[in-house]
Amino acid sequence: MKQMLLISILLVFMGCSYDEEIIDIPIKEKRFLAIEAYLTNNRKIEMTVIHNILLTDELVLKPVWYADVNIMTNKKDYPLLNLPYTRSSDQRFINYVSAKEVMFDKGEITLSINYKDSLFLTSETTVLSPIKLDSIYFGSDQRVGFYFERGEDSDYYKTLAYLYVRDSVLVFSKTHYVGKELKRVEINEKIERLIEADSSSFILSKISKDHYLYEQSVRNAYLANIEPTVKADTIYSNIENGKGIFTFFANDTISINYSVKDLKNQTVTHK
Amino acid sequence: MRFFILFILFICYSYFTEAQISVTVKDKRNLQPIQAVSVISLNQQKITESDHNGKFQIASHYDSLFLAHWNYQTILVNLNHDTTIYLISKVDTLEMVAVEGKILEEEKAIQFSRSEIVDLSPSFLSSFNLERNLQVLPGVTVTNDTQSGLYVRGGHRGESRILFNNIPQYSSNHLFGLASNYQEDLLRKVSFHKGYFPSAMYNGVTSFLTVDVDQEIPQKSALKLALGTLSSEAYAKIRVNEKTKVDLGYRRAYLDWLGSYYNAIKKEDLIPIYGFDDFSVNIVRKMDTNDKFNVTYILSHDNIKSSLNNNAIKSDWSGQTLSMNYLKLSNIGVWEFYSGFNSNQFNFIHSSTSETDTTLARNNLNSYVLGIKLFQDINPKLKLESTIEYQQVRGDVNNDWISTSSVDRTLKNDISQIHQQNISSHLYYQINRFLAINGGVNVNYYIRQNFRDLQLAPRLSLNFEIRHHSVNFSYNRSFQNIHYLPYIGFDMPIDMWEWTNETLSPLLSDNFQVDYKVKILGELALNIGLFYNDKRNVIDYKDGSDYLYNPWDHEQITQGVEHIRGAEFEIKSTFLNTPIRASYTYLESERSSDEIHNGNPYPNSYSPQHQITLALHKKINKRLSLNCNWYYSTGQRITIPESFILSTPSNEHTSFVVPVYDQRNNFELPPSHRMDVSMNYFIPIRSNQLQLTLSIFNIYNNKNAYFVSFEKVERNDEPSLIQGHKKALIPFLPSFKITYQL
Repeated sequence: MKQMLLISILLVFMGCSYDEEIIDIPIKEKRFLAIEAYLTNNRKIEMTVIHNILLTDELVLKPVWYADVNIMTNKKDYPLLNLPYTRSSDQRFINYVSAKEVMFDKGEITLSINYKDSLFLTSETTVLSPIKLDSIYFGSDQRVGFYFERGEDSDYYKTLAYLYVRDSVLVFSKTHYVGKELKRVEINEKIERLIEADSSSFILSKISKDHYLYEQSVRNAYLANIEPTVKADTIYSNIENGKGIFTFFANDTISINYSVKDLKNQTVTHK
Repeated sequence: MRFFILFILFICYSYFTEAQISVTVKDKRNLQPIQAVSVISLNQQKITESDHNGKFQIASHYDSLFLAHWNYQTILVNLNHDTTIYLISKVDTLEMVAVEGKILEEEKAIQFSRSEIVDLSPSFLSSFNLERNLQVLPGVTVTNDTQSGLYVRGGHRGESRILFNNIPQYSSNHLFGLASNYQEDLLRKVSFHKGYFPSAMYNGVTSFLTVDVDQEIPQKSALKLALGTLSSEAYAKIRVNEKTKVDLGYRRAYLDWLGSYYNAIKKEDLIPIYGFDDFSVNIVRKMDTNDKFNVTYILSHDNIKSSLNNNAIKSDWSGQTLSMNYLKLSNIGVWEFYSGFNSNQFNFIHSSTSETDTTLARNNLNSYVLGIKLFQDINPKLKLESTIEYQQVRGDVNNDWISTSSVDRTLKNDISQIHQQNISSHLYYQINRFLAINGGVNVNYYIRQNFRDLQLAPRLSLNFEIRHHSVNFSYNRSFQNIHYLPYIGFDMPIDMWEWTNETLSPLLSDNFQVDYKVKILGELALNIGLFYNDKRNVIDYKDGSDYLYNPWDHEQITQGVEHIRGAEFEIKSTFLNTPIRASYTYLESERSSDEIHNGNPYPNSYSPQHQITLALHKKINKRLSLNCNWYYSTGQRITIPESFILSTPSNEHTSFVVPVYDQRNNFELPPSHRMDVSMNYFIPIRSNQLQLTLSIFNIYNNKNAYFVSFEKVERNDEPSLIQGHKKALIPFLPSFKITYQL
């Protein structure tokens, strides 16, 4: 009996388990600059240069002010202005911009950032040739086929579908590795709610390998935070002394200004 | 502080329940207790007899006992502090000698008979799980509640090897460690080797668990029927004649039926459909007193289907093990001829209803073994064990990512044939009454197509013994040609494996350990051990690697070093017929590779720094017994983000708060602890027995974290914050089992 009593005391005593849900994370200060720059032809050079947000920080955007940001090609240098704004077309925050639209020739583009004469960031990317989206095929079960000729300078592509459903815009995007075997490529996608769209735009982007790896790693890192079965991995970066992406990409778009409901098993070509 | 008080309470409990000294008499061969042994106490001038548990009581620690039984050799022992006495059978010459050899092999192992291993821990969901039961031992880590497999001294489960009647088993558990893939009645004995192994053991670097099947010819046929919360089982031991027996066992879990029924009622796929079943047959034939033949076959299946959150998953595993053993006593020693195979087929399909992609994995891993062992008593002080073994491995890995939109990606790895020719020799020499030495070498010639590798593994152990004190120093080199790469911190079906080849060097480990054992206060045994494992060629994925669909080349995988230091303490006591075990394990792991995180060291995710276990098995009366285990462990190490960035992918409108991960395994989850309890109640019905078992996992419902997610917290009129939220998995979980033994 005495032993049973002792065992019961043990059980009751240990039954006091805390039901804590929020846990404290030790502070580890490690600040760096994060860059996102997607360059393309016939547009201004627009870049986002921000500080990272530590676990102890408030969740607000921390723009980097007064950095010397320069884009260089073998022909010309483009010093960027520190001019923060939100781009109306995609709501992207931009804080460094070129004075004019830029047309890049073939070759390398170099980025250099000097922040307070104490932090120097560099990166490099290659100009990609233009891409042409030949046609869009609307199959059954809300499937869409993107048809195009593969360029010689990249095996990586990104497809986007903008669906305008009543007052809202739905965006479906995916990055692809298409390999080297085929010259003519067909990317087949299932796009949910395609038939609900009043109008739509389909964009094909030719992207660099760095661009592909960066967006894949961003997606994985985002998932790893909410899904324990996804491997927590570092974000791919091509920025020396910082994190992020500096890349060039080429776009082509096919827009359809009416519902695609009646386009089943039909092909829409580029005009 | 709370746990310190608990510990003191536990120790006080052990001491204040003082009584007479209990001694157990066991069969040296099968470690089973022997009933009706006549015991004459020469000091006390008393005669007593062992009960059905092989136990008898005496008044003093120091006594001379005369033990006699009609089936065993009569002996006279000076008891000193011993609480277990082993008797040797008169009738079975072959096994007696073979067991002597085996005992040498298992000298440094921790051994359990079937009943001991079953009673070691409360069962999880009333199903037998060998590896889970061993978690109460020092050095066996409890990384999380769903852990399957054996994690020993900071090593991954893939570094521990299970030898089932000498046949290596590469998978021995059902999903999430719910149950072993065989029933407890199939077993006779298990021996657990950690750090130091006999020379015959290879292709594992942290521990070996040898499982011997029951080869006893029963006095009469017996049948066991059991109905449990998770599964039901039947096990028959059929005595064909005095020289032959056949065991047949079958177990089936019915979570799939319950899940299907529940989903049908709810008209929605709310819970996964999971089921498993095991079949085993064990045949023993004694030719005469000098020969014995044994064949054992196990067949297991796992099947899971789920369509939660628009993700359709279908996965199945099928495992088979066949072992054939032939024991033969000759003039030069005992020969053991063995052969068999272990095969594993694993299929996995994942598809998402919202995307067009499908992931498929079809993996096979089969090994075939043929070997001969010879145990020799050269003279009373010198014994030798020699082994020649041939192992062939065949298998393939086929991982496909089928996409209608991108190029299909495929990883094909054809392990058409791997040959391992292994030879080993191990000597045991008792130099004098204080000092014994044993050691040997394992030589393995590994062939994989054009790749050849000669692997040498020397081992040496010195043992000093004076009265109740013993000190042991050992050095052990071991190697392993199968490499496991866990995808994340806990076990996943997509964890990858590969065998040594031109680009992947064998995993090597140099293990050093010092053990001190002492018996104090008569009933208290204290073991203290220090160890250091120096591992080379430990594989890990590089930052940003995508190894699921890529060959295991130097673009994806790197090999580095790992140092594991640790200490183990264990106290065992048997006051008042209540065996109590308390253990503490300290672990430090440090892994590094030039190609990961600039060569900075990082810990692995399965080395909790501190671990305490307490276990008691109390026989309250003849019918009722209680098992109670408590586990405390420093939290598992996981990788958490060190900061966040805002990202808007090209041409898109939505910004993401993206976690930035840097150093691996940089965060220790909060400590986890839980108590598991089981109660057994026996009801005799004529000559049969009914047993009722109530098991409770995590009795005080502690929410042990296995993951932390960072979530945005909105605040009124102030900017948002990010907070870490812990996620727990297995709550308080009772289960019940009725067993009827005919």
